[in-house]
Amino acid sequence: MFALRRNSIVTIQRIFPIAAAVRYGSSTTATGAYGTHNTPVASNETLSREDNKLLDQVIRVDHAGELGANRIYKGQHFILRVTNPRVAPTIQHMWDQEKYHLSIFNKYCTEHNVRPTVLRPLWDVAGFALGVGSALLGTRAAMACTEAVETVIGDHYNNQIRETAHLEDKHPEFSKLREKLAELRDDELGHLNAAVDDWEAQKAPAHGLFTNAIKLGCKTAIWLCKRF
Amino acid sequence: MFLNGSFRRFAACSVRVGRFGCSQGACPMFNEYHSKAVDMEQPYYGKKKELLQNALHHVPELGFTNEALARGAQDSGYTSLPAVLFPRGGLDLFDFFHYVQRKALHELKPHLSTIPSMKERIIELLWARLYANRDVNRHLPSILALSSRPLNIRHSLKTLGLLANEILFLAQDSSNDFQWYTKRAAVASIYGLSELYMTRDTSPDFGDTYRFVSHRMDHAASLNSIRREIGSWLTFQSRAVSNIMRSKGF
Repeated sequence: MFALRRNSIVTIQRIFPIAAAVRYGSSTTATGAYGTHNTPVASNETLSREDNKLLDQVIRVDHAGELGANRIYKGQHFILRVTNPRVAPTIQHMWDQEKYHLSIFNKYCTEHNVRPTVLRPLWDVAGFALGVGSALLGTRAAMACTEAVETVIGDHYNNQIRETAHLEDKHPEFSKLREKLAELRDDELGHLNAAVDDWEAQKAPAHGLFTNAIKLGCKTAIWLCKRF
Repeated sequence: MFLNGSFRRFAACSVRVGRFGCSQGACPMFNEYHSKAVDMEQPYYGKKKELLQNALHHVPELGFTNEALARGAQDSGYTSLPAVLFPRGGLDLFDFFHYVQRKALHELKPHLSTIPSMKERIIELLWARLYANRDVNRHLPSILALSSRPLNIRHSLKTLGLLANEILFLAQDSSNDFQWYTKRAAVASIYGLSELYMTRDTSPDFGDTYRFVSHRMDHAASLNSIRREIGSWLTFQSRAVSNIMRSKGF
């Protein structure tokens, strides 16, 4: 402890050890290759800034999306278990799947140091309100809402899978992420099919207007979450 | 004393310099998706990084100034340095210092895994980061004053935010909602206060700063419950009001 108190060159060398190897940013083979370069040479082992930003956005938006879906189903279940108990088990099942999806993204957020969206309190309220509102308009309207949301989400997941295609071979971590995205997309499309085929979502009153309004809302939410 | 036992760990959290150079004058910071498997592209690399590393050696004596950068250039064999390389002068060097010290916090990971309490982990990380300022401590007031100017404040706040994020990430904070932001704000403010306190600290080995940090963390923990308590109070009051209205026949 007292050695550090001396103002000597030894002290400085202990504070700023030039020779100390660093664990980040380089493998030992990189020294010779990168020693005299003045630009970063992208290798298979590094993630570029653009990819970093992309992955950050992907996880943030999906996290917010699953949260919104959770709240929507919660709202719908809240009303429909009273007004139409026959449909309550289906909604409960869809809700459970969404809870599982949310837990996956919670895990990704924590593991990968991804910032969750700052608008979360807003989505909490808005999602629940949408769920309750659509359920109050009837079972078909609730299913139309599900149809709209799941269509947008399915498209969105497909876009993400396409945008991260170049990361597939970089490392198994990314191919696993993409596989997970595909699995979740399949779940969401399963909800879409259930809503349309089993519960007559297309016969909801003012179906076109209603679904388009909700789709627009979802796309706005996605755009906002990418940035905030 | 805690300082004696933990000294060696803190000595490890010194400036670690990597192999790539700095960015082309652009802000090297961005929100990082951390991957355990794949490394991030380095914002500093090549000759610029070498210059900055050499300049850091002169900071304890010359401060975060253009003189330190010039001396660093001399160490690399250059007689002069064009101003365009480091347009913000000492602030660019300060950014590099921040970046290196932030990355050096990862060295504490093995030690952190032995600490069960989240609060203790955060204190350990905060203290390690503050202790790494010890040799440049007397030059900090001037460079902090420069970085709190209106033109520079946005950048400095972002640096502070990145540090707070790194600290909480290494402390394995698992919040996913708005608490993510409130916790980072709390840690950032504690760090800022403690850094300023440390510039005036004359106690042996900055013991007073350590105590300051612990006290601030205790206060922060109690602040979290205030939000919940306010919520309960409001609920109680609103129920009381609605009961009164009902009794009046509304």
